[in-house]
Amino acid sequence: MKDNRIQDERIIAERRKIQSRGYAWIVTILLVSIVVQQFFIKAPFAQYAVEFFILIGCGIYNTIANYKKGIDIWNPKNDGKKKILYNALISGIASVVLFAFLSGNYKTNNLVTYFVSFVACFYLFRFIMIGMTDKKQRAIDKELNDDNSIE
Amino acid sequence: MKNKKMKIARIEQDMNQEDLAKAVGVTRQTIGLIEAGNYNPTLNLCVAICRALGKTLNDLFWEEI
Repeated sequence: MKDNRIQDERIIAERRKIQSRGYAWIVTILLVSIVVQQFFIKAPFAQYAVEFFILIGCGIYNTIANYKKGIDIWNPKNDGKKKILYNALISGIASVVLFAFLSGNYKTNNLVTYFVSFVACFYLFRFIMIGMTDKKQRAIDKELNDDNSIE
Repeated sequence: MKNKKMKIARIEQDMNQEDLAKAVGVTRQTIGLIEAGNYNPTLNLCVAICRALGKTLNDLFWEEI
C-alpha cells in the first residue's frame, strides 16, 4: 500500500534536529551517570556496565557511520602531526587531572602510567582513523570521478 | 528575506497556501515560512513550487543585487 503521508522536508529536517539533540542529551546523561556511579558512589562495575557499554556502542556507531560516509571527524581542520601530538598531550593532562581529582588517586606512578597510555592510545588511534578516513575519501572521490558511474 | 515573488505568483494562480502546499506535498506552514523568508527550501522543493506555479527558478528565487 502506498504511503500517502506528506513527506515535508522541513518537518523531516526539524525532526532529525530534535532527535539529534535528544541523542546528545542521552549520551551526556549516560556519561554523567557513569562518572557519578564510578567515582562518587564507588559502585561496582557490574552496576553501571550497561550504561558503559551503551556509551562505548554509541562511540563505535558514530565512528563507523562517519567513516562509511567518508566524513573526517578525526582531523577536520587538517592539523599537522605536531598539532595532533600537542592536542593529545593537552587532552592527556586534562584527563589525568580529572581522574586524580575524581578518584582521589594521587600516586605518581599510577598517574604517569595513565598519562602515557592515554597519550599513546589517543595519538595512535587518531592517526589510524585519519589514515583510514583519508583512504575512504580517496575511494569515494575515485567513484565520483569515474565517468561510467553516471548513466 | 521575504519571498514576495512567490506570494504574488501564488495569488496570480488563485491558490492559497494550503493549495500550493498540497500541490507540492508539504505542509501549509512550510509554504508560509518560505514566503516569510524563514526557511530555505531545497532545490527539489524550489523546482516543485516553480512547476506548480508555472514559473522558473529565476522568476521566483533569484534576487538581483
